[in-house]
Amino acid sequence: MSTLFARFTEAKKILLLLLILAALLVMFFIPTFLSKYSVYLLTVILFTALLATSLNISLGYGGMLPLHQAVFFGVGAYAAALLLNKSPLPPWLSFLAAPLVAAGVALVIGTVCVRLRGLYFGMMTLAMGQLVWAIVYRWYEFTGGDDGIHGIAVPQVLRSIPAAYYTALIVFSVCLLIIYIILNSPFGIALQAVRDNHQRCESIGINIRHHQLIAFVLAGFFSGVAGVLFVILERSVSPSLLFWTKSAELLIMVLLGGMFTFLGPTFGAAVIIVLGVFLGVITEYWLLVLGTVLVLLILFLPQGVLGFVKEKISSSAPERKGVDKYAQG
Amino acid sequence: MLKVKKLVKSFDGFLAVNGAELTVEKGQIVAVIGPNGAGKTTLFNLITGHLVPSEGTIEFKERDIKALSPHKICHMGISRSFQLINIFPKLTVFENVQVSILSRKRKILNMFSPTNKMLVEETYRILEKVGLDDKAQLLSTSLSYGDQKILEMAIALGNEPELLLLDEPTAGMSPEETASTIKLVKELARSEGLTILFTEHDLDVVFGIAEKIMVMQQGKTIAQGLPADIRANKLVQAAYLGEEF
Repeated sequence: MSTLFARFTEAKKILLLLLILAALLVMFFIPTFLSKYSVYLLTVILFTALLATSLNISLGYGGMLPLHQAVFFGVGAYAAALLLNKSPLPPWLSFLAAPLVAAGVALVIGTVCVRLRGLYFGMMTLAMGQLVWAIVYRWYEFTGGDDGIHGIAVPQVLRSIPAAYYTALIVFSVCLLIIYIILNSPFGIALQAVRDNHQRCESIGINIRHHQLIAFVLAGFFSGVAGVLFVILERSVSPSLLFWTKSAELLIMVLLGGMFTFLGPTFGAAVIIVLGVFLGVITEYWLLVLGTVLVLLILFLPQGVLGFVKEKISSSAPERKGVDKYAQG
Repeated sequence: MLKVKKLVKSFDGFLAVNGAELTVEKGQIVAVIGPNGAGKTTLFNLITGHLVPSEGTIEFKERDIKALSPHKICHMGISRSFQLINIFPKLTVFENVQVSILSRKRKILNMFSPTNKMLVEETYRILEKVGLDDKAQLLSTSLSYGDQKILEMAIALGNEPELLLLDEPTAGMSPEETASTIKLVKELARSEGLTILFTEHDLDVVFGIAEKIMVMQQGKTIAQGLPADIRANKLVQAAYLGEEF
């Protein structure tokens, strides 16, 4: 029985891998047959999906309630913009440094916040995040204040929508792979254990604050990467990137897709963005639709869409090798 | 191995533990008994670092562990199970134990190895010992109450403790489950060379396996010694007035 089971999960794994490869192949050729606007939209979906997935490191896997993840997105974007425009660094180094700046801000905010739990944690992230927003919004000499920064010196080769799209596609794929590996590493399992039960984790020797802080900083880093992708596509930044409503949208995406699934946030991001665009054309009250969707979701699919699907397809932990060896006990 | 002296814990003036004394030698099975509210669980929380004592000393292997945080105490070799089910609900039975072993081996900061191939044998060894190996792939919360209590113990074993604290390991179990759990605890003590400190309501269980008993009443240690001496102790009889000894 166990070998049958193992074969089944093995087949499922290969199928999933093929599906992902097929999706990537299709994504690769998309600019050749879709309109420029569609490609633009897909780019937005890609970096937003990365952003939502990074939020889910803290939320779904870490059991923290970061109410203001967009701050790290905004900081990443602003850092990239300022480094490109005002520093002598070569562009590629600016792109690399910007997520590190976001991670640095996450380290500062996280160090304060991981001392708190639940809603207090959430309110503290919100408060400190809005503080960062206020600084960006008011510091005209440095950040351009509420005007934002326009005409960012993105290298010429990246200044087309297909180029931005391919950059986003590659970076998104690589980042999701890295996040997947991290979440399935011992660090990731321990993080989920922390999410499930603080007290018990302390008793088995896990330093929970330390663990959560690392996860929070990682989430900040990947949000910063999403910010860089935004800059490459838009070549402008404004304080609205790190306003709290942006973070609320992200939370909705993660909840919609399913916060206990890996691809849930990606799915949620795609649905919300597409909904926003198409419903936004039909009616200016599309937020009303979003609100209704959210209410129905919480009532009927609290585990999110992909969470629901996952429940239907049973998951599996590793099968033991050489069971017979112990059969006699 | 473990020495608790003149331990006091005050919650805003209420003395939950007020003069607890306890000595545990290596390899012993020691029980802490006492009426409800005697301070047994508080004593456990003080030993494992979940609470900080107001006064007194706790020494483990000749080292003062009073001011250490729970995860550090755990790494020194003290592990515990809880009175109420305290497991990782969204992880499988396998992962519940695996994460405990990962923590002991200090591998939880490794971010780049796939966990599903790590420590599979070690994890199954523990699951097998407690009889949960055939349920390894299940979500922990899908286990029966009794099995969850056993898993509770298995997680503690994952730390390979020298001293294992069990807070009412059979609370809420059926008589059959209680009997098999007791048998399990005895076996573990022998095969793993564990030192076990436990609390228990069921006096039959206590006198069945304890080699030494400490009795608490209103936060105070009123007696400590061999089961036979405890049985004959007048103070203890008074504390347990009406109960069969």
